[in-house]
Amino acid sequence: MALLTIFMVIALDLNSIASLGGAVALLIFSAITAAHFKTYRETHASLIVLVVALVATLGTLVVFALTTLVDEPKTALAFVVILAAALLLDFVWKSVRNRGSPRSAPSDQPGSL
Amino acid sequence: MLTYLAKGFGEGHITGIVSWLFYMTGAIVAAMVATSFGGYASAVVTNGNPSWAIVFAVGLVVVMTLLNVVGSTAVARVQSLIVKVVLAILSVFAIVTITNWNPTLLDPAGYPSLREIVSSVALTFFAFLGFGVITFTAKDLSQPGRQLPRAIYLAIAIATTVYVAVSLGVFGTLTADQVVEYGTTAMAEAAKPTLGQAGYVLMVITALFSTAGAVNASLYPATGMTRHLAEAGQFPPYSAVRSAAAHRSAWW
Repeated sequence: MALLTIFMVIALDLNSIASLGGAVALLIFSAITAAHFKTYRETHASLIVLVVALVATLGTLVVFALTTLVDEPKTALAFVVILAAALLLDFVWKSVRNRGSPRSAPSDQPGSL
Repeated sequence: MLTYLAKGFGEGHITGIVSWLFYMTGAIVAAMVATSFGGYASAVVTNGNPSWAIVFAVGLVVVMTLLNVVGSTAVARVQSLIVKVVLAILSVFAIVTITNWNPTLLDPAGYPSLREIVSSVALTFFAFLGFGVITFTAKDLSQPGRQLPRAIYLAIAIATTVYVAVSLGVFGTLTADQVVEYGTTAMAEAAKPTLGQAGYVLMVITALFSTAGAVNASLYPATGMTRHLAEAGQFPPYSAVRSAAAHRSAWW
């Protein structure tokens, strides 16, 4: 983590790092809220609040991408690189893991590992 | 937050990808705060030299990583003290600047378009990302079901109050263009008109301590989070990392 931190300190300025963090944070909050839809009965969460939260995070992300990221190509590129890295790390690690243990094939269904 | 993901999507690719993103966000937060530290340190020591700002920022990350590797409990105690002192100074700053503010600087007529305001809200979401760390304290609470929600709501309420009060103080003292021009040191500059040079120095020292503590707090959860995700099968086994060197995951 420290090495990634140092790389960003050297490669990006404060505004770019903040913009990058904002975009990634919105993506994470959206994913977590979407996941919450499957467990809201268990957590006794309000469905309306969850819908408002998802619309707020996704809506802000779209506006942010169309307003700020389009004017900051370096930040937009860093965002794409971060997304690609997360995708690549997950797929590479899971393929290595599943080669060693074929029974634990990944699935996006709850309770499966 | 990662438990919500796993409960909703299972331990598959979606949870894995978002977990890696969450892990990288820790580095983004640390980079942002370290860059602010570098900006303040450079403003004081090298008259704002941008190259030195990067050197100071990288130096802080290295020192804080080494402290995390050592795992000193003294760091945690100092961190706790820093948070209290910083909170007190920010409160004083907000009260003094708001008492002496120029309300015309906050006139909505000078605001940017709604689209730009909504876009800037993305950064606000980023500012609130750290609250997930509070759940790490659950194991130390006698009644986590009751105490944890209270702690989270209270922390969000206090942080929001401080964020809003400090913002009102800064934007009620400086114009938006001045805030952009001063960049990382805008808060210290906002202290000058009411508190003079002493106020500037106080805010610089506060910012240096605050950012140093925040970098430490951003790097600290790396080890625990890596271990948790490795146990869930989302990350490579923590034991492999641990066997290479104790707590080396702070670097990775």
